[in-house]
Amino acid sequence: MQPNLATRLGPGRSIATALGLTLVLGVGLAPPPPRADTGCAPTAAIPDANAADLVGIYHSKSCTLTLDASGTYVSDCGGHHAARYTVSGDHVVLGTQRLLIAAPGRLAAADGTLFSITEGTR
Amino acid sequence: MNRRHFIKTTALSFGLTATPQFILQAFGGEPSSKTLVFDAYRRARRAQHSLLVFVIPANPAERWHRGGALGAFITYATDAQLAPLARCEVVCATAAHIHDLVPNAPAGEPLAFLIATTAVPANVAAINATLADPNVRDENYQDYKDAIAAMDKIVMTNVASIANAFGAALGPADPTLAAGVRERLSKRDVPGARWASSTGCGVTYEHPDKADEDMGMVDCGMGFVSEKSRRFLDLLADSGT
Repeated sequence: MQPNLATRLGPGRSIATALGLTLVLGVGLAPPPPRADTGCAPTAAIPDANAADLVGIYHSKSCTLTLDASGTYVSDCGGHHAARYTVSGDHVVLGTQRLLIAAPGRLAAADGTLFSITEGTR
Repeated sequence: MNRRHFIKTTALSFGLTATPQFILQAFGGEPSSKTLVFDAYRRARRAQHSLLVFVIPANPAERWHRGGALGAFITYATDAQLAPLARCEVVCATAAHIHDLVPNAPAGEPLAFLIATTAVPANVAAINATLADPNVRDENYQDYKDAIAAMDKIVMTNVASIANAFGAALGPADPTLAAGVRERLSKRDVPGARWASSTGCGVTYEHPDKADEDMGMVDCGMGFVSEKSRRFLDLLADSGT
């Protein structure tokens, strides 16, 4: 005759055993945690000597555009924008917008808006 | 009275209480360090130089200490130690404003950042140096002159430490170039800082283009500053953009 497992363990130990089994099985059968989505590795930016001439804080009448030395721009023109910029010929490309490099420290948008750097702090 | 405790307390309280007043006075119409660092980048680019940025610590006490060490370096460095800076445009700026220019710069507040201006994205290197505080001493000096000598020795140790760090980052240069560096950085204010001096009885600012102004802030006769600690760079921090 097989021994009665429940009788031999007693109700307290049975419940504890059941909980333990549930935990062990639960952990064992649980799906693995989702892997961090690293996405595509960022494309290394190609060093651009011409872009170094454009680095600066540009002001128009109503907003500010900053081209930094890491190749990103920050603008508060029509909301906050921040992304990479590139130089293409005589234009600086900010996403879908192209600004003409009119002169050193001066950029011109297609709608006629002028951005200029005010230097002279030393 | 415990002289060592008194000196340390006097120096610390002097720096902490005086700095905000310095800033308020110093920044009347002065551009922020963000504008300064971008302008300095453009000057460096035009001159085909690198940009060397002295980092202004956010903590006022650290700012005071670092300004003293950098000021002593420019004032007391030998020709060979100072010459490598001839190939750099130098400016002082907060880490936050440096990261506005070069977001890829390492985090933290090293002594300085060296930024190449040859291309975008710019190469950025942090320059670190171990600095000791001349006002914190463990020795129990019985003689006033011994204490002064010990403070000056610490100042010159810091000068050597900074020189080694800059020398390693910039490489050696013709010592005759040091004269030009002194003309640019010692006889004029470094952008983002003001030359000042103190003998423990207020602060005197150096202005090449206008008369010095005296600011008395500590009761005269209540403390002393060693000779090599007197001249310092008052690093100007601000929250503006």
